[in-house]
Amino acid sequence: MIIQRQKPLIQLISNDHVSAMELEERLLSLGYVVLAKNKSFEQGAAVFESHQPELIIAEWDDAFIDDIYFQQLLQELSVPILFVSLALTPALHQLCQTSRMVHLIQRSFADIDLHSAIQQVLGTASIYKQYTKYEEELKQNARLLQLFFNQALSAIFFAITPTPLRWRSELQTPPLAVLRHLQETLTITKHNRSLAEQYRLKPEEGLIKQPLRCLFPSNEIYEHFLATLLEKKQCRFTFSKELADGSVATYEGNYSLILDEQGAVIGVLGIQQDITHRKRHERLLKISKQRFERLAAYSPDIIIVAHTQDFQKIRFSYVNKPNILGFKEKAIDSPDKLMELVHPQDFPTVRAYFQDISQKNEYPPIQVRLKNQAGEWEWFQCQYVVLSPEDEQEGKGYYEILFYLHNLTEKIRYENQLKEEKANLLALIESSHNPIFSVDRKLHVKTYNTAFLNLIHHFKPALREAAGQPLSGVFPKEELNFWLEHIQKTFLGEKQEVPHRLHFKEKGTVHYEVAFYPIIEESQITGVTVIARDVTEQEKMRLALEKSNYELDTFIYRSSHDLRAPLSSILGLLQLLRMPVSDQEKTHYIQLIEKSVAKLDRVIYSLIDFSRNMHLPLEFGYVDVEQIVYDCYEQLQSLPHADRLRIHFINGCPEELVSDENRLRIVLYHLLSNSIRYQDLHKEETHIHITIECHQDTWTLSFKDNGKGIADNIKQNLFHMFQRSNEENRGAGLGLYIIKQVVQKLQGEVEIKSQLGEGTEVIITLPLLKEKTIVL
Amino acid sequence: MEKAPAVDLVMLVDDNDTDNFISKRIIEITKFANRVEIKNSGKSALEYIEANVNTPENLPDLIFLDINMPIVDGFVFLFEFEMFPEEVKKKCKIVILSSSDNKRDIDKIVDNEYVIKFITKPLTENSLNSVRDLLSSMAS
Repeated sequence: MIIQRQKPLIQLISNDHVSAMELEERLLSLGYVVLAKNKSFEQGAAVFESHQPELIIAEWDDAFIDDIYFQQLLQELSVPILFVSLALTPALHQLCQTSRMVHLIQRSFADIDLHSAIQQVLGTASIYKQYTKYEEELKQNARLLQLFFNQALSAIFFAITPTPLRWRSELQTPPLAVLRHLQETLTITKHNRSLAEQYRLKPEEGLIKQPLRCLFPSNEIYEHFLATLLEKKQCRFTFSKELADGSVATYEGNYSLILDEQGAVIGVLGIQQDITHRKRHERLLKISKQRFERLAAYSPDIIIVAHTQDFQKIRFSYVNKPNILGFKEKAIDSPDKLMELVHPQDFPTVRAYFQDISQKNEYPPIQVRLKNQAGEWEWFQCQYVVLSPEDEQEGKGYYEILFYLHNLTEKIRYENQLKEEKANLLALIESSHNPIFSVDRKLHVKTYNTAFLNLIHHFKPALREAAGQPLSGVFPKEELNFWLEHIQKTFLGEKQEVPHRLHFKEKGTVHYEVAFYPIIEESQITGVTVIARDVTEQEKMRLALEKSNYELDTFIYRSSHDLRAPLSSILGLLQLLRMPVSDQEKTHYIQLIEKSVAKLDRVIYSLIDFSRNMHLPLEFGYVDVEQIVYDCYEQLQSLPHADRLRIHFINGCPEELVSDENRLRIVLYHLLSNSIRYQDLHKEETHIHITIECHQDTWTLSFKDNGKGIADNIKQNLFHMFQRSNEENRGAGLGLYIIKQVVQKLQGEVEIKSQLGEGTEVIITLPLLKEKTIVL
Repeated sequence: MEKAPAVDLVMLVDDNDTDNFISKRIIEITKFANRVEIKNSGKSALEYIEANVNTPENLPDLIFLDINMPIVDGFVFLFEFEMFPEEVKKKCKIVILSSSDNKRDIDKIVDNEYVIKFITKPLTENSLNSVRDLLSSMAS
């Protein structure tokens, strides 16, 4: 008796009642539990469904083959069937062959045979069930693997060698023969679509059965790849390959050897990415970095890149030039070193500026002075930018700080220079007494001096500030056109110099020479400078010069005439002398010659007097007027009727008079000469009253005669050169002219009072000089 | 050979008495004119002509006129002379007799149609001969 620890439930199927009874009996004796005895599978179906037997034992009948229920059962056989049969029929044999759940025991058999058959069937079924479950799982995994394999973005491939190879493990480097063998035999056996795409293959193309070599650009690189892989078993490898379409692709992958249990190399597994784009970005990044550095190296400014993790310690990792501020390379490698160079006055500003650096805020730049190696201060505009690390988690990665120091030294120096020059220019403009101003393109006054403002005050007394005023705001209507016209002409590029006159109530007419100059900045006319030079004095001098030139011209003309007149008389008389005339007549001619010579002499004397007055310096001394008068009278004795004139001299001055004796002599000579020559001979007696009077600052000399007098119509031109007073005047017309010139030189005045037929009074007023003085 | 007088009456207008005397004597010696009328101012010369407008036989055929005279000088004389009737102006030919040959004077006078010649003092036999030739060429 077999003791069954677990009694399997068995269903019996037999249409032979006797054999069924017998089998039941034997099974029971073996300790099995028989659930039910059914004549056919059709009859047993209900029990099978409801009780789920663990084994079906059935008496074989070839008719089962046609039984629909049996066939149905066979389709999804979850319970093993043990057929009992006398003979092994072909149908039964075939059935046993095709299904692992169908078994056979041939009659006759001992109980123990039945038991072991049952045990075997149950065991097989159990294993089979297990196997089926594993198979399902395996199938599922394979499906997932396939899916991954096909869908993977990375290219995956297997390359297998038909003849696995082993080499002695102590040899680190594989023998060359191994390398050569693999090189020639490794063949791609499986790959996904991504690999084909990486190599730009057409959808229908593949790389199956292609040598592994075809993935690589050259034999050398392939060999290098294999050698590396053999050495390391697993490696990362990057290479570039020119593809059929001419483009170059770069690949990077993880590759590993596939080994069998004994460690022989079967093949290679590769998982590979196309990194062409990444490479290009890397290259572009490198180029742009190089460009930045090159650009920075040429910049006059200082550009510093610093790194820090915590803002406690900041180190300069890049400086655009080796010697900043003249210090040797790497002498300044941190903000602290830089701070040592900051000007004491700027130090607090800079410290405050850098205080917030860890806040990563961006502040507007500050201006700071830094001491260079030579000890000079240089101006910089300083600014920084903090760039956060890519991985912005706290405490991780490095912050990048960009310091930008823009050198302002030159700029500030130029600015100061410009300021100074501007101030100098303004001072220069201001110091000029001539009105100066400038206008901009909009014709508004820009710069001007006080002289200009004073000029404008004549038109607009209330104007305090001219800068920014339009021209119409500073000039009155009647003036505006002149200035506007010439300024506009100057804007066309031509310098203008124009005379201009202004009339003022107080000053009268003022003459200006107005110069308009274009202001040129970078070949553009940006404004006009106007300088109005006051040439009134020059104008007066010009007129005076014109007059004096005219006088000189007249003087030469008349004196040549007056010098020549007596000469031509003498020539005429000499001609007559040569004629056949009486001696008496000849004597007359000689007298006439003497007279002409005397006349010539007088003219020459007058001219000498005139010239002396013009050129000799003034020489002051005590003068005895009366003595000079008599000296002159002596000289003039040769004049006709000179002795007829009576001279009355009255000196009313208590002191000795001071004057230039030579010049006074000229005056007295000509006054006396006039009085002698223009005596009225019809009068009973002719006389002259000479009176001297002293006043506060002046003294007067009065010459009053009872001569012919001067007609009213002549009086206004009396002092003109070569003016003669009447028809009978035989003089040169120089006397009064010379008197006037000399008196003017002596800072005095001449006045003439005369009545035709009554006489003439000439009054000369001269300054009263107390001491001997010399005035040049 | 004795020449016939060039003109009947000559008038000398000059403020210089010596020059008038010289001119008169040379005219007399060379027998240039029958008569010489001397006026020592422009004013008296004008007055003489004015007084003789209706007695042409007393009007001078030739006037020797000085430029440089007081009040009424040669220029004023010529200006006033313009006012005389046409027959007076036609009869009285004028010769300027000046001590200077200043260009300024010559330019001023050269336009005047009654001035036939410009002579620099002193008046000589030669200059009188050239006036004589000029007058005869004008007459023919």
